[in-house]
Amino acid sequence: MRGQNSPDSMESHEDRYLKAFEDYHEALFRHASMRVSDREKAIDIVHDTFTKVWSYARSGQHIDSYRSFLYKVLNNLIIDEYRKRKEASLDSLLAIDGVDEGSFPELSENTVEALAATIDGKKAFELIAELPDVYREVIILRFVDELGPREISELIEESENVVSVRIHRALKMLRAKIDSHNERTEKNRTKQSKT
Amino acid sequence: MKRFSEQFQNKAKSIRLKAVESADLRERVVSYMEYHPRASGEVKARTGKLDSKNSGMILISGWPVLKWAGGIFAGLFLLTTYLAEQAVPGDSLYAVKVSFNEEVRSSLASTPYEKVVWETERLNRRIAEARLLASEGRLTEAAEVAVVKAVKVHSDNARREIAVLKETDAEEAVLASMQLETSIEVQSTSLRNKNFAGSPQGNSTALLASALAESNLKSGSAPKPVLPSYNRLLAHAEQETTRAYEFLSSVKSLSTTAEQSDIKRRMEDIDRSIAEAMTLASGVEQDSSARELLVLAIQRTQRLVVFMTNIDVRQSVTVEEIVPVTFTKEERIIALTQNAKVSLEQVVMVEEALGATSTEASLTQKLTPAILEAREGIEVVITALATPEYDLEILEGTVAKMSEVLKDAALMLEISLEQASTESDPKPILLPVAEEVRATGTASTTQAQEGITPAATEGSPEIPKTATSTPRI
Repeated sequence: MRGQNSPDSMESHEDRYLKAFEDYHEALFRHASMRVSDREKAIDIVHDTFTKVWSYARSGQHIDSYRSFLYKVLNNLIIDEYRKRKEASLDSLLAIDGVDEGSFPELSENTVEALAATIDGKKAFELIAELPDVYREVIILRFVDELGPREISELIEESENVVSVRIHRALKMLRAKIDSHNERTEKNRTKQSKT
Repeated sequence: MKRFSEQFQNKAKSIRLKAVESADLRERVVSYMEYHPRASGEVKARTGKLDSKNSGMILISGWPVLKWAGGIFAGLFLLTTYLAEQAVPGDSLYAVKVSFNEEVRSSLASTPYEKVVWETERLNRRIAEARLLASEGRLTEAAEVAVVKAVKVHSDNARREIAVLKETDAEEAVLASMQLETSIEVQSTSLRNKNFAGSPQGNSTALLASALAESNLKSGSAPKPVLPSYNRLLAHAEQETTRAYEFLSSVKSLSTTAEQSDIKRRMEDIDRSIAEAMTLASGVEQDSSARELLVLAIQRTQRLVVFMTNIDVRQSVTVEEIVPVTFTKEERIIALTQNAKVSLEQVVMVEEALGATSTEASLTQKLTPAILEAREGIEVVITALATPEYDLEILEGTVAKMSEVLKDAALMLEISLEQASTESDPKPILLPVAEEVRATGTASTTQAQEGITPAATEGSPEIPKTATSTPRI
């Protein structure tokens, strides 16, 4: 992803950095906005992402792929933001679930696709904020940022298998939330018609 | 899957940064980048560490050495560019001044108007350099030809920018053109001025003067542009006068009170013209007169700025030659009253000379009707001045005309009209009453004070005195 001491000229570093800003700032904002559910905070995080990346680049380090690097920094900043909010960390979330994600080796991309086909995308989008961040993260990376399982695994520093399991579970959670939401709506409607 | 993915993504795409947010974010990021530039020295130092596997000493000392070298280099660079600013043609740093310092400043001028202003400034710089070389006797023919060429390049560049500006903003183009032409005009006047002698070994700047005069002539023959709107002119006049006041206050410590009051007087004249234009503009019909007045006020302000900012111009011309004093109505009345009195006394002197026995009869016969006419004319003026309503311009014209008649008569009679005057006697005050008088520059304040003291009558406002010497700011 990145190395030290590029032979590139100083100008090309700046040009590449600015091009990366133009190419990815919108996508990074969308990602951050969905993750933190706060527009202003998302803008700040994207800003911090770019300044951190520039600090890294100006120190003479070479960045091969700005996209991956930017997502990595953005992701770390989002996690920091969650820590600030004193929300449950990834570990504690997993502990609560009591599930070892690595224990579902049979979950492949195909099963994820099959599960996703059963879910209404529009409703899922409305309810995504209700998911714990670790699940929200993978859903957004997979379906909004369109990263492949390998890229996500590199980004969140988990195995591809864990990523697939997490996406699978996230989709299941979403489906459950949609069902429960539908039920509630249905109950309300029945109540209203009776009264 | 595809359906979910599409639906989910379509919804997500509705989350977008607003254009303002996006621009603001970009600005913040770029600002950060600019304030934290990538240090080339740092990279080189790191590279040095990696490449110098076998030289531990260099690894330890390389970075501080580079740091010092960078500091020294930056210091030398700044010193060179600073010293280059003082260079004149023939100096080793002159190329740095023209090709680096000035080009950098050129690139900072973002709008065509700013570019015109900068090219005008460069033109002024070339002329100042030529003057300096001439005063030191170093202006060779080749050097003068080079300066003429450079002046032509800068004026052509400015005119090209004006042409570009004309396409997008014709009014701004007129204002930019005014700036350039005023500067050329002042420089041309100052170069033509015979008072400019420089040092005894000084060279002539005739070629440069001719080139500027030619350029001035060329611009003068161009079709008269349509004047900008009243509001545009008024805004520009305010801008220019503010600039002039700023220059005046910045040179306060370097100039004498008399020099300052000389310039202040002109500024007051300009302010009065602007106020007059504003009054005129309140009537719809008077709009074009108001605009013309504002154009004159702007040109006078710009001339004053060129005068204040160019030491060489100040040394070769008086402020009066560049921006003549504009007298107020009250001042004109005082001067006219004074001049009429003096002229009447001169009539008496001429009549006495005519009555003398030594005067030839033919001359007496020839001059008597003219002197009679002069007496009557002056008496009419004195009588009219006592009435509440009169045309000041006509009266001024009459006195000026009669004064000329009396001068001619004195010449023929071989008498001096000033002979009878004592120190306490009133003397005529020269006012620029007629256009031709103004054009020849005879109405300078300096001259007014040389032989003529404005004698204020009791209870009348005193005509402000102006400095007699060329201001040195």
